[in-house]
Amino acid sequence: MPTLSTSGVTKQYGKKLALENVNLSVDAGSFTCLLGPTGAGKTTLLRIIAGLEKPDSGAIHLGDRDITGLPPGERKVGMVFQTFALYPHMTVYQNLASPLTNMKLSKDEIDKRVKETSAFLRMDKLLQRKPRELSGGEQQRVAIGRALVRRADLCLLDEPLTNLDFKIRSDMRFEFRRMKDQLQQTILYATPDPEDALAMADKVAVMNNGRIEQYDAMTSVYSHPSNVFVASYFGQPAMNLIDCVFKEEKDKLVLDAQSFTIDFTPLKSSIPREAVGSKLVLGARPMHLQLSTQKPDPPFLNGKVYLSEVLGSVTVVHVTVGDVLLRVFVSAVRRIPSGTPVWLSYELERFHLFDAQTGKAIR
Amino acid sequence: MRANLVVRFVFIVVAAVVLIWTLFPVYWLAVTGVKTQTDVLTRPPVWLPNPDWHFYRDLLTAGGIATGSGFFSLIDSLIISSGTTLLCVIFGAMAAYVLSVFPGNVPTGGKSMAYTILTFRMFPPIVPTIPLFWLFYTLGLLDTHASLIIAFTTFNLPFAIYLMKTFFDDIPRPILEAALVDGYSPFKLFWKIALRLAIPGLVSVSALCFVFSWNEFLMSLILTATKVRPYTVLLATWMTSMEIAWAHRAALAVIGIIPPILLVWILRERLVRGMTLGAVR
Repeated sequence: MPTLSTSGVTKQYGKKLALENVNLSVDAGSFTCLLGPTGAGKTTLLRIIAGLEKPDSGAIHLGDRDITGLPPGERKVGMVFQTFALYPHMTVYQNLASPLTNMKLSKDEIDKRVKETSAFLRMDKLLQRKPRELSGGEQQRVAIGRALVRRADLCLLDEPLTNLDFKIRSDMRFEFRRMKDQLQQTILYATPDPEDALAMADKVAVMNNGRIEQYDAMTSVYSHPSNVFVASYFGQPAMNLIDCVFKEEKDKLVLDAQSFTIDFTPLKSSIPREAVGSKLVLGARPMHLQLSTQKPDPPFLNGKVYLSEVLGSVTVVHVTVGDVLLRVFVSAVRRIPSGTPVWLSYELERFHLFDAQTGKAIR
Repeated sequence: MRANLVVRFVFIVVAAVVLIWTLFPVYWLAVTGVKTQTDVLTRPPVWLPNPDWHFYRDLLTAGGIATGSGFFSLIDSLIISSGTTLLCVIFGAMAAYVLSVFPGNVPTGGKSMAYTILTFRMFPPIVPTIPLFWLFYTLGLLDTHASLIIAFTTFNLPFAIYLMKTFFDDIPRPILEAALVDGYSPFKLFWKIALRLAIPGLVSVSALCFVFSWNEFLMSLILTATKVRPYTVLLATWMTSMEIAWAHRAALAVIGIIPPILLVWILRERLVRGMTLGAVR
């Protein structure tokens, strides 16, 4: 059952097209991520759904109500802002109570709901504090609480982790999941960080230049990116993309990437005929290349270590193969000296192929 | 070390000269107010008289020739200044709020509005005073508190709006947007959120409006006659059948200085914060 659906939403600021014909339907009780770089239109879309901006055309439905023309307060939508946007002159209690007061609930009901929400977010001891007396993470909880307390049909989160410390982020990700699972709250979450989507989302809508590039279950988007943009953006570290072209040699189908060749013969039947001879882009996720310092069984590529980059408790090794630089994922903290000869084994099935012209996925 | 001392010495001398230059009139005023009738105009002047408070007593209590006019002129000024301040703050805050938060609801998005408002303050006050005289004459409002309150409000409101707007502009937009999403109506948003966050602005605007009206002379002179007489007008025109009431004027002037100083003193912290908040954007 879809709870939110936008149809043909378009918005233009001056000459810049911020949103172009956005169609999105979000299932009730699901966690949906709007993923995309700054300027992709995520925030604009959220603001239009919240009623803070008017779309130039298109309609927005929430449940069976058309909310396109309603003022923000009447939409039954909660929103958490990137900067938290708490009311600085009110206590935490008053901040949480304010949407309920505006709904004209009774004092007892307000008190009950504020207590429930603050208990859920583990901030019952902070109720009498002012926002400036709270840490960033606590302010964030209050902002979330203010959106949750009204039990809105939909909760919009606009890059809520951007202003928080690295450590609090993972705690908060857990918190968001808990919110969705325990309260069955429908969540639409905008973020530029693919890790957010990987960690929390049921479904992901990848946005770029005001358009939704791909919208599907998180795992499908990850394993079957529909175009080069989605492939390169969704994934951390980013997918390796290499220009290449197919060449037929007798019965063999060989992918020529200038610096190296890959024998695609085993998958020949799954490659469309017209792909042969046209310019393509090969996509290889860093985790699908297996690095070894001794010669493994074929197939493999060989190259030299350019740089080892330790990220958290994993390592991204940059390897030069011919003229191209490939990122390879190693799930351990390792510093391999630059210049060390290494071998990269791969499984053919794991590679992605895109049309270089249109960017669309071929397989 | 020596050079340093010289610099210090020069600095102190210059500071002292400036200080004396600035404070001498105030001192002279204060001293004149407590002189006896005969000492006021004697030559050489009496620098430190034996204080005689009877002019002040005359002003503030019943009795003596000048009683009524002095005391009541202060009351008149107080009524006019408070009335003006109140109106400017109320209407100024509301207008500024709309200009700042809902510019879409104002013709031309409020862009030319701020400019129009400011030009209002650019022509010399005497220019509109003559037509205002006829206007109030026709309305039968001459020589009333209302006439001056209306006139001062007309002139201070643009400034109040403009200054208040910078304070509303300083409120982070997400706070206001969050409030809209939370179901605050535009008026409730103004009353419960925006106004509370613009209190330093409110304080600055009230202080400045009060001081402007308190010190205003030209319009007061032209639009009032006998029933209403702000203290600035009385200061300039005060005479008794016997003399030009110098000592009375001095006493009145000293009392007249007190309210603005007191106001700014009480509000100083908020005022300074307000001024810088409004200025640094």
